[in-house]
Amino acid sequence: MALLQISEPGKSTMPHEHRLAVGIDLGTTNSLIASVVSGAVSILEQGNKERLLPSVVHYSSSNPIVGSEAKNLQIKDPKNTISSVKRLIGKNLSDIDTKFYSLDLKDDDGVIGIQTDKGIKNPIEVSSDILKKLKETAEESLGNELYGAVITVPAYFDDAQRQATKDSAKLAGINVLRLINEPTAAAVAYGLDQNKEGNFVIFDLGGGTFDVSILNLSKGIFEVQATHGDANLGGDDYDQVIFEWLCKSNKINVTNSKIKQKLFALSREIKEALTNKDSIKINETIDKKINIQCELSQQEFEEITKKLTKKTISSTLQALRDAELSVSQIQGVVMVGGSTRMPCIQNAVKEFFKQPLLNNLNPDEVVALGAAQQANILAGNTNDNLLLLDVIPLSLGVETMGDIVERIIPRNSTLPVSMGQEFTTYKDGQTAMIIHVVQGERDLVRDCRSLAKFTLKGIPPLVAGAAKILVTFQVDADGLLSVSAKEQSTGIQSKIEVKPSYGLSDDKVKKMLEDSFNLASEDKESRALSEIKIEGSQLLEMIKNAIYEDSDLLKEKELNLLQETLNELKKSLESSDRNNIEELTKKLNDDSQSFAAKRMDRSIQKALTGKSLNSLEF
Amino acid sequence: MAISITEKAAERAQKYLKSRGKGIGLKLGVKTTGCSGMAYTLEFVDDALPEDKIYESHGIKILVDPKSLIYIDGTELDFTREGLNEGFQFNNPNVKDSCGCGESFTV
Amino acid sequence: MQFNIDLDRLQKSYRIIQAEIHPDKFVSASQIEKNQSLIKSTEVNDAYQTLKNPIKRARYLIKINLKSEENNSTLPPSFLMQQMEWEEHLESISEQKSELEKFRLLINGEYQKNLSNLESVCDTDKNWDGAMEILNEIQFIDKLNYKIIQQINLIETK
Repeated sequence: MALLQISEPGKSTMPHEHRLAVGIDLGTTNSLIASVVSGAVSILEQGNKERLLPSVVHYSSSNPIVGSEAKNLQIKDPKNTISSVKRLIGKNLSDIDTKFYSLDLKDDDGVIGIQTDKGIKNPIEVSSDILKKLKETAEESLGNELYGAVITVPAYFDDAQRQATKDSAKLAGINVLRLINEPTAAAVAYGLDQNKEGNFVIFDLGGGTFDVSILNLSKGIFEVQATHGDANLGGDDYDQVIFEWLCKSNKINVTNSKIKQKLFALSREIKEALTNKDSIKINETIDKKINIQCELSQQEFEEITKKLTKKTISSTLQALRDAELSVSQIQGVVMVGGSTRMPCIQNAVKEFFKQPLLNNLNPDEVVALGAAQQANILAGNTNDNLLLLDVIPLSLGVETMGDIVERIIPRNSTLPVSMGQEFTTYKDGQTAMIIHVVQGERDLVRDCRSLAKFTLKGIPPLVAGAAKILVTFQVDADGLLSVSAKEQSTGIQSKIEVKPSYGLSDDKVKKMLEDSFNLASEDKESRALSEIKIEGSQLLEMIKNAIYEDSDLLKEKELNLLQETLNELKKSLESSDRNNIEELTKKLNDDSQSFAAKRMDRSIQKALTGKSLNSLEF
Repeated sequence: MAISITEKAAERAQKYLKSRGKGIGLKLGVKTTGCSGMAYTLEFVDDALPEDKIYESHGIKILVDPKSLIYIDGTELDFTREGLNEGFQFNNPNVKDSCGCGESFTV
Repeated sequence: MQFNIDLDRLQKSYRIIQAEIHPDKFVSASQIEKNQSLIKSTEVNDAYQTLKNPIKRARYLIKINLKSEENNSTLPPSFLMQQMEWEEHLESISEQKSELEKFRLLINGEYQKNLSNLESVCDTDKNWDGAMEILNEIQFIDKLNYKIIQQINLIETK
């Protein structure tokens, strides 16, 4: 028996058409999943009643072990137990500091590979194993298949990290409704839309990442003004400082990874104990030779980690400046992430903003809760009106001559955004051009993150400087980039569209996905047919409705053309001719672009005239 | 006959209404379609319609539109738990047959 | 259209339109609606940024009113002198945060002064060549302001 939940007025769904939507906080240390059930948002508990799923995966048996069980194996079997994989996702081996890891890391075709007894695992696979586990939990406790998920990422994640996160969701079989930024999700959870207006700072210090965002809130609109942060700064770094302090004050020279693990675990315990103690005495036997005896006071801890805390404050200051706001214009400061429990962070932020902090929600859960609320809205389960207008955290540009970055999209541009720049050839008769896409704020290419390199071919051979190549960057609402280039001086248009190709190519992701389903080729074929049929009939329905509502936007000829294609597609959908359905769906899609654009314009007109501008709701 | 709600379900509904922050009660109804012909609907109510039938049970207002009433008159709304999954259930005396999932039924 | 616009109303209209067409409103829609929403929402963001920022707004106004896109106006020698002086000053105080803050206030004052000049030249005189000249000055001042901020950030992150 399926059990029912209470829907919002008018939002009851048909059986088997529920849109179960969840929010997932895929964290460095812990991951959480939440959902809105009967109008109330809550964390979905794991089978063992735990609310947090440790982001740890262990590979030694046939199925990966995820969560607490894996965490317990960390000290016993560090080599096969992967934690903090979020620090590795979307990166190359050269990007990371291997001292954090007791893993066997190697380069695997441009991606980081982790050697385990079960073969080489890449960070996307590891993340997807965590996501699969969360998905299982959700489907068990919600009693049905998931419709989709909102997954949160640090606001300061670059394009490669975002793309890799989305790929791991795809690999886990999750329909990603949207990637949203963690601080923005936290702002939603605080229900700031309900009663608060003005400028809010979200200070988010997690296990491995730090973000600060400044949002302007007004009647359900969350407009991000600026964001700043450090994708490599978090609670783990505080552990690292304690670890180094332990080694130094006890004169320990760490050589083996088991001892390293033990000392790291001890460092974390010390840090956590200092949350509500002024001082802590340590007396621990690590192994036969090493016995630790010392004392760490709150004050000394604050002193040895001062550099890290200062980094967070200076990021905050830069975000304020980017938003063109001063401390006195901030109405509230929200603390997010387990690491904001540290008294030294609380004090530093309080002192900087000269006001009490908003920390009444559990800082570990607030991001997942907000993501779940947004997922519920995106899935169309509620009448709530809420709109998140987020920004791109880091500038995007291309390499020009002399290792210099030409910025195309500046950071803090509101999403979605598209900008173009014209480039020209530098040699006579040049017919190809390499476009190197980078992300970051520095002027030199080598100081920025390289996202993709591709070659634009087919430029007409002209004298140097005569060809005009327009390179356009489009960043969508998930913060993901696609690049297109067009030669436009001659009317010959050589246009290519490229998604940045770092880490895993689309083909590789597809292959991994297929492997994981382990389908026979017949199954694959029938799956593909049913997918294209669904797509075709959805489009058919949409166009039929659109014609019914707005046929006056079409000229008679256009209308006839559309009707004709509609009928053909309708007939074709009854067959099993996959190619034909695909072709007609594409044709209908192309034919109705301008109609769809006109309809969208009309809805804008309606929205603007519907409300007299003097009494605007927003 | 009437529509009622078990104490357990009432408790839950009260909790959900409170966390939602608005709403005068619950609305029970049926929609046609689904695998066995008809499907239950369960929604929050912000504004009652003039034609709605209103019942009260264990402190919860239950609204039903007259068209749905003939199919669900006598129904008791319960709240149960199955493994990790928990939710509401219609105990409807009119049902002759329901589909395997229990979400749709015939009378 | 004029240079002096009601920014509050601009923001409200912007938000109304985005609430209608933002990709978030089309998550479960067909691919074609998703595409259109992405295109329109991108355009609206671009329009909003152009109108919100006074420099971009002025550049846009001049572009649609001055038929030629050529930027023929040259900066007056007095401004060039001033420019050099400011650059030298920035150089000399590059390590002193309080001096940088003070300088930033001064430059900000210049920025505001030029902005109100721009308003009268655009809206009252409709002198687009004159507007272009002020715009060139303002762009320099804006860049200088950015350099000062960068310098302050640099000191702070050290």
